[in-house]
Amino acid sequence: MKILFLFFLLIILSPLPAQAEAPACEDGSGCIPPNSWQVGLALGLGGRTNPLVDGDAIPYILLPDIAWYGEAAYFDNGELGYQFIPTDTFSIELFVAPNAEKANFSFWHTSNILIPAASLAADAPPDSPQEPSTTISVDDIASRNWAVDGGIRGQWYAGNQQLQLAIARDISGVYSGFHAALTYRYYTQWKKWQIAMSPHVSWKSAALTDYYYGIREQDTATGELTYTGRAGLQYGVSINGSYPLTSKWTLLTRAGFTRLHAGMTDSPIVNKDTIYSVFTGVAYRF
Amino acid sequence: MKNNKGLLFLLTIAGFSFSTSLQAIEWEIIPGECVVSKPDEVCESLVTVRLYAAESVIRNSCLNIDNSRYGCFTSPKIQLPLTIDDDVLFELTDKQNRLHKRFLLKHSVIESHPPRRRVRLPWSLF
Repeated sequence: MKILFLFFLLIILSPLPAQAEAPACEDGSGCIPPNSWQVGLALGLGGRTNPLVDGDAIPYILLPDIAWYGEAAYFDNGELGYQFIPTDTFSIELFVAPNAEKANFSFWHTSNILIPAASLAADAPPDSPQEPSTTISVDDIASRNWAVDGGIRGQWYAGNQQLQLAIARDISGVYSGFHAALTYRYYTQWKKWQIAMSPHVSWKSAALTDYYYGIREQDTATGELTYTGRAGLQYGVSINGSYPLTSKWTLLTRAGFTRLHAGMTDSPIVNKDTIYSVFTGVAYRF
Repeated sequence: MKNNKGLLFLLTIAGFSFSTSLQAIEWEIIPGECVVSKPDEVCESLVTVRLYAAESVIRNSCLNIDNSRYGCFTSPKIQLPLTIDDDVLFELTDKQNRLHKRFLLKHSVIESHPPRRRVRLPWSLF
């Protein structure tokens, strides 16, 4: 953790080279002409581990990529936003996006897909006459709701480097908390591979952590399992690689991990301290 | 195909290079370029091809457009209406079809708005 903080400290304290020019923005390499769509579909194999007790891993089989950019407004893979004065080296945007925390609880949860009625029943506190359990699983607790966040993000570009700082809060009244993230991204090319390496650190407020990972009375009849989530910092790294096969087809691969913060991993509903994700496949751009 | 005469840049390209033939001939083509903001836009223009040479040389000169014979010169100037939706190749030959000069009138697309950076990495839905 200390090493990662030192890494970020070095990045922040070392000024981005003012003379460095951002790489030319080319269609298909993370850029898009204004007033146009980018729609694609990737087919492959991969997944994301789930840190919850009895939580199902999220499979990555089909990855859509849907983006629309106007002159200033945009929609990018679920995020709706408005960008102010974008330049070659800086942009700032206001955005609204779903909070992804809920995905751990139900994204591919079989009870939500196959037996909707059962998932409704899960909203009620368990009233089993059995002896109180000393463990708790995601199947036992009341459902958590999807939340929608509103936030602001600044992005700085210099040469093949990018620094991104975002802060967002719940605007849907679900968890009533905040989160923030600092992401550094380094772009490089090896032969025809375009590679982006992204170490990141994020902070989640106590309200956010407690809503999703706290254990309350409606979750368990066992008092000793109740838990109040705390704020914390977590960090991780992701690596994305793409290899253009033709103008339409691209080979995609990505891998990453996120080390969860103690305010979350101390929860009895969490039994892993790291989330891993990996995907390899081919993508088609329509 | 949309007309966009307003975006036509009337660039003059004068053929002041020396001819490879023994008899000097120069030419001028106006406009020299079709500049549009979208690939599907066209320029509709009255293109003027003017020769600067001796009368005998002019009367022995012919114009090919995109490798097809358009006609031969009876005066120093030919005007032809063109709908330019792609590059157009002009070639000046003599009546024996020997090539003297060539000029490519380009159909150029200038992005009126530069591309925008996506705020998220592509394929980062999850």
